[in-house]
Amino acid sequence: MTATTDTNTALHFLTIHQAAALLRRGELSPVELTRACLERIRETDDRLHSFILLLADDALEQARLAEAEIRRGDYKGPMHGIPFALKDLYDTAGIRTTSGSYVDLDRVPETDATTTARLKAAGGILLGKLAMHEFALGGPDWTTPFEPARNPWNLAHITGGSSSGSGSAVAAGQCLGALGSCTGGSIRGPASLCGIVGLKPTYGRVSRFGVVTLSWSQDHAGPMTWTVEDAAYMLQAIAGYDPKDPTSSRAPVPDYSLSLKEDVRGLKIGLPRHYFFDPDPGVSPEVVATVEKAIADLEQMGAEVQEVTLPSLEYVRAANTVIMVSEAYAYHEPNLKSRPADFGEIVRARFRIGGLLSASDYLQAQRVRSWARRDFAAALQKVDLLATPTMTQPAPAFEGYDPLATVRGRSFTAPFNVTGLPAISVPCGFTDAGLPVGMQLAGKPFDEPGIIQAAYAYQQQAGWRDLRPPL
Amino acid sequence: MSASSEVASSELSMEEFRLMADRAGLGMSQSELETLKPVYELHAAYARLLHTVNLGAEEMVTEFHPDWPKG
Repeated sequence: MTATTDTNTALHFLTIHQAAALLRRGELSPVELTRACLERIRETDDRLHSFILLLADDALEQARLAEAEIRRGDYKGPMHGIPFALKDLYDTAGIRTTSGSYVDLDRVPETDATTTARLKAAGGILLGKLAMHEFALGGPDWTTPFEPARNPWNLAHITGGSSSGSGSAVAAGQCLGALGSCTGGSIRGPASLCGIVGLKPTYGRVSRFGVVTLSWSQDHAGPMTWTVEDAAYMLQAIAGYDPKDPTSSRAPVPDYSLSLKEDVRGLKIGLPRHYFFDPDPGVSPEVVATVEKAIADLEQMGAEVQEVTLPSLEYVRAANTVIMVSEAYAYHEPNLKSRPADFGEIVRARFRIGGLLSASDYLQAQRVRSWARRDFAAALQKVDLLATPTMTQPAPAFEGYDPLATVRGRSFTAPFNVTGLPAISVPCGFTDAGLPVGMQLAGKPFDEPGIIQAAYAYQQQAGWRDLRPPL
Repeated sequence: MSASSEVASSELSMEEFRLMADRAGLGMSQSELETLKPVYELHAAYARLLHTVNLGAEEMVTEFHPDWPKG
């Protein structure tokens, strides 16, 4: 392990929680913090390629405004003065939003995504737009316009995706938080592979308005941060009903900071061993062993662990894939037919498949999804949450990477896109090669407080947050 | 045995695949068709797997009622 531990000496390694305390008391200036992040980006991004677009001047202007607001006593909360960045499919008014594709290379939205607007209203400082896999699908693809982001823990390895730049930027201390988007695992996957926290909220909890569509019924927006408490703060800023999103929920938004308690006593944790833990040729035993250790730690802290069985799990990956490519084809069909060469090779192929599947395939997938929701609901009557590895493998190397690897075999994240249940990935250790491993905790609909509390309690006990990548 | 391995392969001929792609209006060259066919087979296996499940009168629902699981 060659990770660095200088987390207390560099401004760019402050968490949102730490920075917010300093900013609120006037002991740190948003301008100083923004400059530190911009300097970190300049130092590291020629190796990481996290950023597609850097908005340095705009960010410093916003920081000066935040500084004046805080100084005159108009403090807005934990995101005020915090430098963050957006996956480049979040619409930003007047700022190019490419979705990582030649198709949208010159696209400049007129309005902000609801999430963009809410983070700005909370006082966040937008540093720039982040790299991503094209249209939130596939993998690193050199036939798309931007260099793929690299994993800060080992630059020869991928970050996972599709929120690739969000994973690398947060892990490397280029920004204090980022938004990712997730249709099959694109928040939790790169969070796990880059050693950070990724939270996919309940479907309907966070607005999808202004987030470029991959799959309407499976897309989720959510935070990617260094710590669980930071994810709670970002979620607080973006959660809540939005009339512009027809699937937005009116369920009340709780105060997520109240869940930041180091207590899991009596918490019932379900383990679906038959899918997530039993030996499988596509699953790394080292990853499973690392997560088993984390679950044993939770048990030692007072949680009660029991096995649960979910028969629908064998089918949800198929449902996720069929729904995803079918809806993606419906969305992208005009461009696929009129300008196919503007899509990268991986995404063009995957999207075209959506045009070859039948309506009956799509509807059967949606009905399997309804069954899966009932199946998971029944299990979550017996336990409070489910614990699993986040990913089947640690971050693969670029060399020899198979772009269809994400289609074959099991997916540990997709079940929670299909069911819409909230799920968080929290770092739980490293492989012998020094690559991060994440544990996934999933809960009942709208029980973000439950998964935040369990993840926070584990994080505080485990101590993995003191290690940063050796850049 | 995993559910996916229970689904028998039903590989299309290249001519059948070309007809399917033409009907969808995808307008692909022969080399594009050859590249896409294995990707399609991977996805078609997933679709076939889904059709092996007897779902009875199951409907399709995507949103959660805030009063879940009662709602």
